[in-house]
Amino acid sequence: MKKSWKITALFLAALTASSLLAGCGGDDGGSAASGGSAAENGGSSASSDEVRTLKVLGSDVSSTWDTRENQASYQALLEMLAEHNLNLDFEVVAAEQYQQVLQTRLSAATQLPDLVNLSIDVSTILNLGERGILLDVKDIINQYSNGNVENFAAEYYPNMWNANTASDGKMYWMPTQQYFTYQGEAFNSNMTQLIRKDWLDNLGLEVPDTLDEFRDALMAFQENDANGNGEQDEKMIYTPSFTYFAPSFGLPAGLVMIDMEDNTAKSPWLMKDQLVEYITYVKSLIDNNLIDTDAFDKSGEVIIQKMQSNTISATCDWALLTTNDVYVQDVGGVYWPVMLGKNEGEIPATIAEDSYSIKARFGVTKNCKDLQAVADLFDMIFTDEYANLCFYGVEGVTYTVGDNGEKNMDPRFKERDFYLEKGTGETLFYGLLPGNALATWETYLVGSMEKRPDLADFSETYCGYDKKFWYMGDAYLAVPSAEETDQLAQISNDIATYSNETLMKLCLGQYDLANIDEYINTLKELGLEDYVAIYQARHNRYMQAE
Amino acid sequence: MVSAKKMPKNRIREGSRIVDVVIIVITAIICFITLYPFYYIFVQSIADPQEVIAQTAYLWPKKLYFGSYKLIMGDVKMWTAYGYTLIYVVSGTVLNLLTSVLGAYPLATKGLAFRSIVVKFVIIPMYFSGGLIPSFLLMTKLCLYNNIWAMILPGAVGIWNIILVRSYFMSIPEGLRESAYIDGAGHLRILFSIFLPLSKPILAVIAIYTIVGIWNSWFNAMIYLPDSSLHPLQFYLYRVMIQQSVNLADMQGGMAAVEDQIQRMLENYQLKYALIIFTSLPVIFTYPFFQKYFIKGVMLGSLKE
Repeated sequence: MKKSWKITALFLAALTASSLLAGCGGDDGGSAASGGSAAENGGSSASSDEVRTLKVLGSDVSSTWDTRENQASYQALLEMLAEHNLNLDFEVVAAEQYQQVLQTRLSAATQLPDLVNLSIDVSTILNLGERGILLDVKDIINQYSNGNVENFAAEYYPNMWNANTASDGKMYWMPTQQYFTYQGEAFNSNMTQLIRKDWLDNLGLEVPDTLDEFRDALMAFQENDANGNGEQDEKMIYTPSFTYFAPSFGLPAGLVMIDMEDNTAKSPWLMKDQLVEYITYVKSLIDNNLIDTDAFDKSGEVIIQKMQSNTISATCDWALLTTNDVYVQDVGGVYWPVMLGKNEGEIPATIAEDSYSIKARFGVTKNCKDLQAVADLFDMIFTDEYANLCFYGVEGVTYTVGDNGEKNMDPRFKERDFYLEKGTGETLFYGLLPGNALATWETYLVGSMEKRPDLADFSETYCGYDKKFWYMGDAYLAVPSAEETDQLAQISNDIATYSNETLMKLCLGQYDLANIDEYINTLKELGLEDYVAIYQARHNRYMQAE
Repeated sequence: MVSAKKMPKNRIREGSRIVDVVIIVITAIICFITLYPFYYIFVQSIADPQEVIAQTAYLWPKKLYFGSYKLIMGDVKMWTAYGYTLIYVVSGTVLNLLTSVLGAYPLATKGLAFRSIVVKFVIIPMYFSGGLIPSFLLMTKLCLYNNIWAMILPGAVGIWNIILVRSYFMSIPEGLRESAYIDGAGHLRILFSIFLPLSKPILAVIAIYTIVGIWNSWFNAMIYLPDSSLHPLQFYLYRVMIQQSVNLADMQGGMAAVEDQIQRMLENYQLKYALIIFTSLPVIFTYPFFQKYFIKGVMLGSLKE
């Protein structure tokens, strides 16, 4: 009996050990060998009826994916895929979790799909490309595309190749991109100051054109108790940064930006005279109690609460948004965009977002065996039909066509209850497939333009405005090289932190403006000039490629 | 002749009204500091969202609002997460208890060959771990990725729990085992019929530790469960907290749409407080049942050799 127990125990131990060694088999999507180039992975030419399946990993950005079966846009997508003999096996991860899932899988190079939404920083993507985990999309297109991608990009996205090609000449992602026009011309949206127009009207004041007029208007709001609550609490929301007012002094609106007038990278800290003027101006607003300093370190929800309290006289935001009006609609409030020159008649610079923008990046992993299918998918994406589906949706459901052929979106198309039933391609599969949206501002602002005709005037005035700094992102910048990425990683955090803290303390008067040289020298020691030089080099490479 | 030195009075041991008052006041302050944050969250969960945003509700809200609880009760995804959490807790606790007992018994038995070496071998992994990526590779190779077993199996064997139970078993008189052995009982009989009934305190301790640990866990779900329908409750709460940070600049369109989004954001801001209360209740209700064992058993497993 005792012997049989021992034999049984030995047998169980051996069984356990062998089951551990067996593994689970099947393709886990990863192998030690490098995926290499598209040629090594090979493409397959499908027979005319064979449906090719591609695995796609992405995130449900707008939390609409569960509603897809009833959505006309999804059915339209399925039809388009069927026409190209394609089937997409989507693996959809919640947006809040996506980064962790993605980074773990890419780092371990296992459980890789064919196509993946690369919601990670560019330096990591480049690293993955160098390791062979991501394939060269250009190579795939050159070998397998039918020409749609190149032709479409040449017509609508001429910047696509420059903006997405790494310094080694490879393109490790296909971008989700958007191109905005207004009245048929390339359109730049602008960020500027917004002031309470209803208070100006009530006090009989003109819309300010200069910085001094703006300050006087804010003072008038307080002195005359514009909000009628018996207290002089009318103040402006201001975040210590170069976004507010800086372009009016000719300063870039960030740590480093490209000045498109002379194609140079500029930093406000290296433009001392204008910087001193700017800080002096902001300080004068603070000293006159015109800025709500309490809001400096508050969360977005608290800022909203302040806006709803009908005490905020001005703020800074995208000029054509009407988001801020919602907070004061109960009292008939309106926030009006203003462009402020330093002096009377002086044309200010503006912060602008380019008409062409990259919203997301999709990579092809080394696990992908059917590169022809990937190329066919990209050829499908770079068509008018797909672009229409992304931005406008389905005719008769999300938009109608007017007598002159113009597309009229349903004004409710951005309301959640509406797009949960009738969403466009963008709202439905934004984080799951490369997007291609030829957007128009007239459509984007449908519903707002009627209530705010000034928006149309503003758009016409500043569309294609020349004197500007490009706001954020990598507009007109080549993809950084590995060395530039490393250098930026080493210096950018310290510079940004010191810049923000110093600017705030200068504006508050805690630091003496007379010592500005000392602060500028500290930033130089932290590497500010190298930072600017890197941006200049990237811009030069971009312009040379163009 | 030795003169007895007068010992100073120990006012705490011998009782002194002033000392009693001081102790009570200090304890009350500690209780307040410990309990008020939970009370604050409760107040925020039933206050009007505007009050919550303005942070004006401290002791009791001016206006009551139970909309968040209604939202939670009607949220199918939340209940699904609740259900899966119960699965993970129950199965994880049972497995943990089983493996702790089965692992501790042989290590507590005198006469086991190379016992001390085995104990040392078992203890070493307590201090070192392979790291996230090796663990991830292991989970994928074992076909546990995107599978509920990814939440159950990795934590099924707790070395610390084995050590605790082993120490407790070693405190049971050897005579009990010997007499049972003389009467013909085998090891399994001794374990389940003699040791386990005597080990209720330590088993209760391990059970409560495990229940609380699994109930509060979310990291494994974030890494190993991309399928959101399998998520446990705490990770669902984590996602709600992240969702609450919405960038209003991305919300554009008509006034009604933005107003709707802002109201949702405001409700979400308060929703997290209601969710915290909702997810904490089961653990709060479970603890009193284990309390008597917990108090008795928390020190019984301390190492003796």
